[in-house]
Amino acid sequence: MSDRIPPAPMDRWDDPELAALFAGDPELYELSRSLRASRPEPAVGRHFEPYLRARLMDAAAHELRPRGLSRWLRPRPGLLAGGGAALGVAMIAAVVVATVAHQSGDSKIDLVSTNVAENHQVNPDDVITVSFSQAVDHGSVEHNLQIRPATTVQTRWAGNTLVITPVHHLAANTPYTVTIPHDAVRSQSGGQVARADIHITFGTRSTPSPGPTQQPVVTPTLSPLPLGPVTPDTQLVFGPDGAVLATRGLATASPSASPSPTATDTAGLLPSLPATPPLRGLPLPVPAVSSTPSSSASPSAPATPHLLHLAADGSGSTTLGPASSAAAFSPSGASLSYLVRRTSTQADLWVASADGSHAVRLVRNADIGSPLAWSAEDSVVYLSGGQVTSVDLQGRSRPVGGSLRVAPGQDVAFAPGGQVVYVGPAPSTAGRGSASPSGSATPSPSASPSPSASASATGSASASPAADSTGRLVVLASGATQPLRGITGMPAFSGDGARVAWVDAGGSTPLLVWTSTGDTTGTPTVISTPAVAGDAISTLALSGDGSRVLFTLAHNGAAAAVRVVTVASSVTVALGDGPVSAPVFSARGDRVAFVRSAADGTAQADVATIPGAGASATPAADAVPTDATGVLERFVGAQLLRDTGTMHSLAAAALSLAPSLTAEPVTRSYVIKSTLDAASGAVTAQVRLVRDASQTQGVSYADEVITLARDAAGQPFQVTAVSLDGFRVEPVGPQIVHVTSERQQSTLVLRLAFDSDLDPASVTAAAITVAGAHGAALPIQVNYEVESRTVVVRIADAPADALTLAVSGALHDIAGQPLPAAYSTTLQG
Amino acid sequence: MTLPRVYEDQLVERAKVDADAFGELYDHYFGQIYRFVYSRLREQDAAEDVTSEVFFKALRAIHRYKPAGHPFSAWLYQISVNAIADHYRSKRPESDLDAATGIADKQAPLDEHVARRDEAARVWAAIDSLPAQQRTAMTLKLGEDMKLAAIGEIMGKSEGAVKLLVHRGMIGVRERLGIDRPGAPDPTATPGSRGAPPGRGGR
Repeated sequence: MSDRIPPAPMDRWDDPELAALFAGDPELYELSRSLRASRPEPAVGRHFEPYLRARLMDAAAHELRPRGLSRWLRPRPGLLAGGGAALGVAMIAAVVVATVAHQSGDSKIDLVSTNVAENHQVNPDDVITVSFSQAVDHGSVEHNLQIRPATTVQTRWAGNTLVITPVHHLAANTPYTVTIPHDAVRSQSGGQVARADIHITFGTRSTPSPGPTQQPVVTPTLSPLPLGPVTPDTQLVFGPDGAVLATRGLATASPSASPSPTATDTAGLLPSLPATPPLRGLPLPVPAVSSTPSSSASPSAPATPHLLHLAADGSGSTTLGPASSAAAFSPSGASLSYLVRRTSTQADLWVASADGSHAVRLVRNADIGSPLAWSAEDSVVYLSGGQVTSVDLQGRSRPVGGSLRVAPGQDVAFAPGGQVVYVGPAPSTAGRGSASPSGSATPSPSASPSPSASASATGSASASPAADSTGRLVVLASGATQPLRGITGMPAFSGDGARVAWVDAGGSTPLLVWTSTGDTTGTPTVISTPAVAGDAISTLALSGDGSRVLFTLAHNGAAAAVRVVTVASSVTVALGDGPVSAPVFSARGDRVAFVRSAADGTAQADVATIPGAGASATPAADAVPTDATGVLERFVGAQLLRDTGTMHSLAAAALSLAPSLTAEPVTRSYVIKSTLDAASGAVTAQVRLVRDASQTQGVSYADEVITLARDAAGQPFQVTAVSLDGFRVEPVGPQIVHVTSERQQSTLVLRLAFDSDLDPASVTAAAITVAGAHGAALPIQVNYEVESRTVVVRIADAPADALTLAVSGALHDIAGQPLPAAYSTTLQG
Repeated sequence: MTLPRVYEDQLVERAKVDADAFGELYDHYFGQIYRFVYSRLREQDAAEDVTSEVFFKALRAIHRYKPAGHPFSAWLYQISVNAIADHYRSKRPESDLDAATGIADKQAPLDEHVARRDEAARVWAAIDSLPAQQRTAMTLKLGEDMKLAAIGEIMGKSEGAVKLLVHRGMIGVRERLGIDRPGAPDPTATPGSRGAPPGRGGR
């Protein structure tokens, strides 16, 4: 007696892969179809599957204890050799035991387990599982499932376990409640129901969400904003002010048009360097700092590459220094280092203030094409003679990295932080022989210049180059290596250097993979891409936190397209036209800059906002100084922990903290909106404190207004006032969790992030209005970004007045629940 | 058929310490693994023994499993390939095509259905006579409908190498069946020429 495994569907005898493989031999293809159609029909004993399961579960109860405690309990090979009568007896016994156990249970259905209950730090990417004590009516449970905040989900069943997958991931930093009425949890016969309503409460952690768990229906498109002309081989770096630095930008204004900044050479202190001028302390003829509106660039004017500061809004550029082959900002953003070609083989390493002033030449013997990275606030690493070298701001240099040498032409890149270096495969003998210094930096076209610093070294390495055939990371302090299997092109590092991504071209289909730097034992994680055999992935960049990756994908010989994909869930969050080069993420990961080259050899730097990025429940108002945001975050964080010491340290001495201390613990908080009063310089933040739901009470919240100000210009922000309402039960319906505004040229863009999935049909100009200073409604364009639960309001030609944004109860979530109360706020146009 | 990757990764992590989670993996993958093993062994008792061994090996080794971007099934198939090889090594010599086809020839079909199954067995016996790696690639491709790239993941080979194995395997089968000999009877026919594929859907 045997059961049969269900056969495959009938329409599968044609296989495109086999058809392609045997395209030249129709007979073989027909034979393959016949073989597939006549494949053995598996027969399996009726009780074999449950019997084996019972044995496995029995063994698993011992095997799956913590390692080392129960090794002696592992089944011996002899246990696996069962068959015949002995197995038959055991099998019958197992079935009987299972049957008795089932029948002896209580007639009520119980919730056995869930993966999220009472966990207030659930990963927003997690699914929710709900396991029942017995088989239940799937349709009834799914139909009556309630999730609050309203969330679009897909459901599936694995045995008696319901798996709930949020289509657009869970919202970060949000309390959730999952409810299933007890009478909806009924047995398949309908005779039994759950003992009580199933009520699961949990919350998500506040890490920015990497994106939805499934592909959005419509992938947002990158809309690049031109920043200015550059040379095609430029590198780009985001500055601390959000502007973009181009190492080889093209400005048309004369560098000598404005006063020269003070420049100082410390290189003369280095005994190994020529004693020829300039000497330390003498001004050097570095290019001046000058401003050039990009719109005034004349095609006929001489276009000389310079180290350019390109305004984030595309309004113009400022020359910071001469054309450079690499540039990097110090960890605080206060200092800038860059490399300037001096001879055909060597470059000067300069350090300046972030605005390019007070430039100081530190060394004169950096290799042409050397990458740069700050290893601390006062030291920079670079290549000299193929040796990784560190120099401090006094010009004192020392070799680091032990015996590591980088050969001419060998790819090399520093991870941010300067503690780890990527060294590409050793160039071929022919390649090394021909790798005479070219006299120009030669960053790889696929390189990501920032946040990592990368290049192909053309220095005069005299020591023997590494002979490895694959690219690898090297920890400079220890010399430990970490091969990057199959790497082609250059890797990309996250802003903290903790993650590295690269293209593994070891197979016919290129793989985009990532791993943690320093993890020599783990296996790289593949980031799913649409690439197929023959496609090319290149031009990588990782966001600062490593949660998003940008790459270009050239399919079937067509032009490369730009993709921004979440690392955790491989979801494409933005698409754009390619090809591009030198991509780099902003520190917050919400913008990306890249170079777009034209067929005529010209190129321009573009910046684009990534749709939905930065819209999570974190303070992000661009108008608010970052140091104020930092103080605010720390103060609110201390408030959660009831850390009065930290609160005092961040508050004005005269401020009483009593009003800001809650009687009961708070689970989470978020800044809904923060604004800067330009006249007073004070920052006002609307903060919400939240207590997650429990089995006995629902979600409650209290609103708080925190004011921050400086004692005097240049002094740090302090909390000067706190006003906290009492806690109240959160009403049903979508909550606004974050409001930001930013100006994109003449258009003011407002973003309202919600905790719930909204009904897109309700997101209209009827539900959302913006009024000018005199109360007149302004024409607006309203869109809803489903994957980030964000309403985007665009006001073209917005006046620079105080505007009033209002959201009415006409806006509702996917469950039909309206906004609980009308919302209104004032924004500066 | 395929578990969502995020969910599967979480399930595997839980299965390292949670018997129920391992049971869920078993529930999901038993059919696939058994079908694959059976298609290689075509003997119920042997298939059940080897399938048992596969899952017990998985249970003992799951604490060492690390997702490498491939589905968990790839790991199970790898275990299966090794277990099948062990089975062949310990239980019997390599399959003998002539013997297999001879058995088929000697067992006169009682009716058309039996004749088709017998013929199918004879054709698949030709696969059994192939070198081991060709046999595995052919079984996964023709028996399991797997993508070439996925087979490569299981076998630790590139997609191109798998293509080569399948191509050579098909040529080997054709040679063994004598299809390319002038006047040789066609041992197979396309599903279209036979109506319902033998052993599938016509029952």
